[in-house]
Amino acid sequence: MQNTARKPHKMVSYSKYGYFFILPFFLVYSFFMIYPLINTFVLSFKGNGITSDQFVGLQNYQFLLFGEEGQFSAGAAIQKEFLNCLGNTFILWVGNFVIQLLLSLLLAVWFSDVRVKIKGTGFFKVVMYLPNIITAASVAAIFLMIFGNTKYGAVNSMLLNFGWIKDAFPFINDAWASRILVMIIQSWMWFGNTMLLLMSGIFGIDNSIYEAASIDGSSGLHTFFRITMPILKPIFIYVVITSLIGGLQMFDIPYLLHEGRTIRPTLKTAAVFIYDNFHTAQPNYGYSATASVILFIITAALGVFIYKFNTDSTAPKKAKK
Amino acid sequence: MKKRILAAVLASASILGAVAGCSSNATSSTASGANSTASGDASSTTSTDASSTGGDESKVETPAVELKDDDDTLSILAWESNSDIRNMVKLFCEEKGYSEDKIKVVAQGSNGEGGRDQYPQYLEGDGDADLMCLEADWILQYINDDKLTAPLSAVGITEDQYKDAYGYTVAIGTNEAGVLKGASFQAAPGGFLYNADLAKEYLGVENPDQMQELVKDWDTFQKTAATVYEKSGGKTSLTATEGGLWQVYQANRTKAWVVDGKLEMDTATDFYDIAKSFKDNKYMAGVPQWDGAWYAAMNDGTAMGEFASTWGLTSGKGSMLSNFTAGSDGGDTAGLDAKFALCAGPTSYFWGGTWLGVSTKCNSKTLAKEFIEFFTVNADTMKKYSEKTGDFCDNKTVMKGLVDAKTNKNALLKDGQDQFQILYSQADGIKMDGIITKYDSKIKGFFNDSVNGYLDGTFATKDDAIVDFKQKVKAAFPEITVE
Repeated sequence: MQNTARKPHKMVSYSKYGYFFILPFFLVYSFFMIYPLINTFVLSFKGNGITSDQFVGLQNYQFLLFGEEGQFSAGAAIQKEFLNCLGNTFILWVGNFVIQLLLSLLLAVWFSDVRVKIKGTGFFKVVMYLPNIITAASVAAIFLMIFGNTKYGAVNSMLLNFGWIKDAFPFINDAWASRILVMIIQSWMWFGNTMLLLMSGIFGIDNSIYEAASIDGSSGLHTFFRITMPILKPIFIYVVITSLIGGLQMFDIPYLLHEGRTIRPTLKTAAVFIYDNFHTAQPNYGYSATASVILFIITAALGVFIYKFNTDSTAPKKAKK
Repeated sequence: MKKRILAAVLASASILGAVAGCSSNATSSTASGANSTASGDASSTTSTDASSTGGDESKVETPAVELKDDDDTLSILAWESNSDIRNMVKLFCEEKGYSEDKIKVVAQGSNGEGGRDQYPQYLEGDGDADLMCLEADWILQYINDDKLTAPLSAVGITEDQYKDAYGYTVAIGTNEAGVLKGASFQAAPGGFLYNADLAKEYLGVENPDQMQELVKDWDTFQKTAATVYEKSGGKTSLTATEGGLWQVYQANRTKAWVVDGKLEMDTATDFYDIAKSFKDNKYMAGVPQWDGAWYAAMNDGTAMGEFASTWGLTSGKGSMLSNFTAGSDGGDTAGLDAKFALCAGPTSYFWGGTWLGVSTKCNSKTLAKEFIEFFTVNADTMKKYSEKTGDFCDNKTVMKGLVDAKTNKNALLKDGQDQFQILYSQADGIKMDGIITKYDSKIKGFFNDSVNGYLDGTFATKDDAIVDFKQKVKAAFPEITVE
């Protein structure tokens, strides 16, 4: 710094200080983000367990995606496990996503509709956002208490007392009951968040358009599909893509929602698979890293697809501007 | 000029901000000269005080691993639900007159499996770790890894100090290279814990000896189970969990899970049928193990009994017996009636047990030695430990003395029953060495999942369940041959 001050030039360039300012971020970012990212790719070409140090080329990808000959070969075993997890991820994501989006869209439209005039929207917004603030661990614990497998679960004990069922229904152990439970929990936790995003989008729409539509005698449904949705599209796509990314990385609730000590196989998501293989004393780094890369590619591809698919129709509009 | 100063201040502020996490324990880490990467638990565990110990480095011998001795606190890695270690620390501090701040229990994971998976990550950080608790199911994984554990000789403890210990505990604590790396403070024989009130009501049983007659072998056991279910009008099953049943059943295994790198199911395949018949006939309540429902079921009489080994029978808070009595995990037992009693059960068996290992990061050698000797070598203090907690200490002479004296009274067992009388005869029969492997913990988990999956209908047939089990093992351990 002293050097620059001594220079005879009258113009002192401050531009380089900008780099000093952003340096800390890039240091932290490259150390905590770029390096792990690259390392994940590197690890995906390495072995598992005791062979974690050896390069195995594309073997992990081959095993996870295409399996291997023989019922009890490493490739076949890990493929079955991985495909099961990937399947669960999609089931849970789609289920959670559909409920969540429909609910939040409906509520967002109602809350922002000038004609409906719901009182205390601020209160509702807060209340509906609240589940998102509770940590996943607590949510899982609450739902485990309510839907416990045995007669000690709240719902089971109620149903048993009413005499509606003879034996306790295993809500947590049953494949579909537990999946639906996860979908409901995830939707319940996130619909408030999605609703706020959509509402802010809807509030951005010029009120005069709605006025004009109502003068022209447009019905509520018509207004929604012809005015709200098209203008809301960019926000909507954003919501879909972020939900996609979040949904495919779903981890906490499926990981926590089990009784006893092991995670339910019907709830194991891809993220749980990654964690499971990574987080043992003799880790299968290769499988974990490969699954991460595959998940990354799937997420990226779906994201691009949704973006392309939805932005084409709006392209001419942009051209007009 | 002002701008430049402002810029410098802001820049340094932002850099400071980026490493703010480290500043809180900067003082302690500079003292020990360690790197200052802040890890989650660092603030609670690193209290390195280099200045207090000066020239205390007495070199007794030249061990292969050189450990430091510049810390006057002891950190012991354990898991949340390990109630033994907390009782031990309390006793140790009381007897030695140390303040309890001196010994820290660093809990990693909520249960043994959690500890198994989370120790390595903790050890990677700069948190203090001198000793670690290692569970029977996965101790071999740790003592065969020289990066994680140091030999006991590194703190000055030798194998000939364990002449009175149960042979199998020493054998298991010795790694493949023949180096002693783990010392157990408990031998883990088990018995059948049952609800004495219900036994009296449904079976007319007055004392543990009569109960033993009714559960002396598997045939009688099942007959009794049928009686209990019938007499209670379908309300009570004789046992609680599949996991408990397996623990006893596995005592008749002759082979380890993995022999010469190959998965051996041995008699485990038959267990599917046994568990199924227990479940179908309601001989077993079928509640999940280690869960609130388990403790509740044992407490309210949905299940009449459960298999429990020494660490489950201590009277301290958080043990299985204590949780059964309270009806909840970690519940308070004060003022509650002791309604459980113990008998030997159909076969003698062992279940778990915890070893103390020395971390390679150990920096308080003297204290570590003191602690290990207190619980695994010194007969007087081991006797005190057993008397105080009701744990079955790993010393034949001490246990013989306690059994002969008949002084032990377990506050949580009916009429203050002395569990040592029953466990002592079982302890000699434990043959654990040679049939445990470093894979056991995970394999046992997969196996229990597979059996439970068969019981709850996830797998249509036993064969499906077995195939799934084998594939799970292969997926987790690619190096094991599975057929």
